[in-house]
Amino acid sequence: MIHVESLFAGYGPNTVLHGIDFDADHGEHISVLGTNGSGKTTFLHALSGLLKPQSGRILLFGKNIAEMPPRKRAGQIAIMPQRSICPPGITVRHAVLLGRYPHLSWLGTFSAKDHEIAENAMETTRTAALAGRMLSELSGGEMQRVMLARTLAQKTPLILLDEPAAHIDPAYAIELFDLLEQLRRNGLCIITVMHDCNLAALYATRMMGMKNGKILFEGPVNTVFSEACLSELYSMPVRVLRTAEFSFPVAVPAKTCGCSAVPLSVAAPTR
Amino acid sequence: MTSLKQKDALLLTLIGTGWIFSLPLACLGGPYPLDGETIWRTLANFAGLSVPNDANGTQQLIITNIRFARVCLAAVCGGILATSGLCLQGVLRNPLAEPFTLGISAGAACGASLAIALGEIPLLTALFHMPQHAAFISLSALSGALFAVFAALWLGRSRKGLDKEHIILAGIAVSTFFGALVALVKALNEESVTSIVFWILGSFQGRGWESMPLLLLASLPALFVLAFRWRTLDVLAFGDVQAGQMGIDVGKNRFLILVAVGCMTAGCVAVAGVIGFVGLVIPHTLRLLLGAAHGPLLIGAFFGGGLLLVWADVIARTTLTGGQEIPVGVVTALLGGPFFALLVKQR
Repeated sequence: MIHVESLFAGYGPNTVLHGIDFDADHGEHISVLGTNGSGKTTFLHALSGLLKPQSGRILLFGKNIAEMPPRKRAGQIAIMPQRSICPPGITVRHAVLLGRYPHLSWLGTFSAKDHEIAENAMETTRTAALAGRMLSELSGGEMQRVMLARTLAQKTPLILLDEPAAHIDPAYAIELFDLLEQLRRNGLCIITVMHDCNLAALYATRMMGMKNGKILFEGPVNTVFSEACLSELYSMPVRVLRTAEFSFPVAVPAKTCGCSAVPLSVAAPTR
Repeated sequence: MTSLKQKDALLLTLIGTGWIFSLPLACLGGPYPLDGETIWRTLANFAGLSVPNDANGTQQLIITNIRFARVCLAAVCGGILATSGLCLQGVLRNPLAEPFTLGISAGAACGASLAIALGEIPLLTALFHMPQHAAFISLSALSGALFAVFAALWLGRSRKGLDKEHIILAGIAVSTFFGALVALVKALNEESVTSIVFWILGSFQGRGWESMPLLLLASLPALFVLAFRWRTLDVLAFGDVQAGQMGIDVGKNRFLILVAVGCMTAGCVAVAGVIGFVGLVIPHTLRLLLGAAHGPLLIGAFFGGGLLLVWADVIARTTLTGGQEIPVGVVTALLGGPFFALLVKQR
């Protein structure tokens, strides 16, 4: 579906991404991991077509996205931002309906089909009950769900998500990723930029580690979710625990000064 | 949602009805006494209806060529100013933006001041045959306003494109520069100070149908451009990055909207001078009543702005006796200021 070839991209004269080669297809969920400043979000912006490559190209269904008109591109690629501006006076329903913008006619009016798609997107993300509320009245988690509903209303084959679990509680994070899993199974291609490598390991079909604007590792989760890869990615020792109790591995930092590192018997208060 | 739309439709119908009825009603006010029936019959004849009319020539001239022309100019100018304010607040995502943010008022004031000052010099007037001094001032103000708009757009273009912060800063720079030029003209030519000050405050005194072509020429293409960008303005409220992700060419649309707003405001300023506050009061009042969707807001702003300015002009020409007038810009500020403050306080 999407093919990235020798991509160099950045801001002004600064190059952030150095020669990225990447492919993704229908039914895949690829998680991009990396430290702050590694180029993950820049990569996502380049994939969305907003950041023009300095060199190299990104092909979507064989067409160069840099040459696609913005509306046509937005009809194929939707991106859920990490944080959204809450314009005053806009209801949740109106915000979700605006996801239909790339598909609107020149008159700019919403059709019955647009309303139906927006209602379905709100049902899917459990935001239908919030439909009449103003965006400015929502909590961070509710806003995240509304933004996902708007992203789904765009009805694109490729969805990019920037830190989708950043402002939500663990229970809703699981719910959100279950929903992404359903969408993936329905044939959508999902690319997430993540800090939580354990959550990524639970849902991604492939993982990609980025460091200094280059791909450090890339492959199926059971191959790259290793102590060697993660330790190098985060420049610190990382242990990957595999227990009989859980079917999935868990990565933890091997060196910490946190209170949980202190044995409980010692940590108990003494008089 | 249906009830919300019904409420919007009801409010817009009310504003539209008020606008239509205000056009003949506002002709009642003025130093020359006229009754409602004479006005109605004369306007009906003017519109091509064959209604028996016993109005004399003077009455007909006052109604059709002076008052009705003036009311129509005020209705269109008010609509333009309110629509411009609404679009600028949307495209720059700044609630304080108004039609004169791009330095239009200062540019127009500079053009008009130069024309007024040059018109005071008898030698120049004789040499260049400037009998139609008002038209010369209008054209000079239009040139100044357009020059200011394009200067602000040129200065506001940064490496990131047409960035909203850069545009606002460029507008301030242009305003300051042209403001200084106006001060210089006033300092060098003291005889013209009163005329310049009165022009800057804005007025429809002495304006008639001859001003309408200029106003329509500047505003109709611009209104056409804006009418098809109401949904774009809705999406732009989410910021440049998200608007781009949702399929908007932010730079191109921002440029088109700013040029459209600049041209129609320039036309309005050239005709009536600088009338402040309409572009701020009407959009904010309507946002409180209609929400943030730009479709109903654009319609409401055009008719609401017209309504406000038509009645502000009635107050301007009827308050003082002996044919004297208060500048309409003073009336809009006096009326709009406290009302706006009340709205902000109640929010």
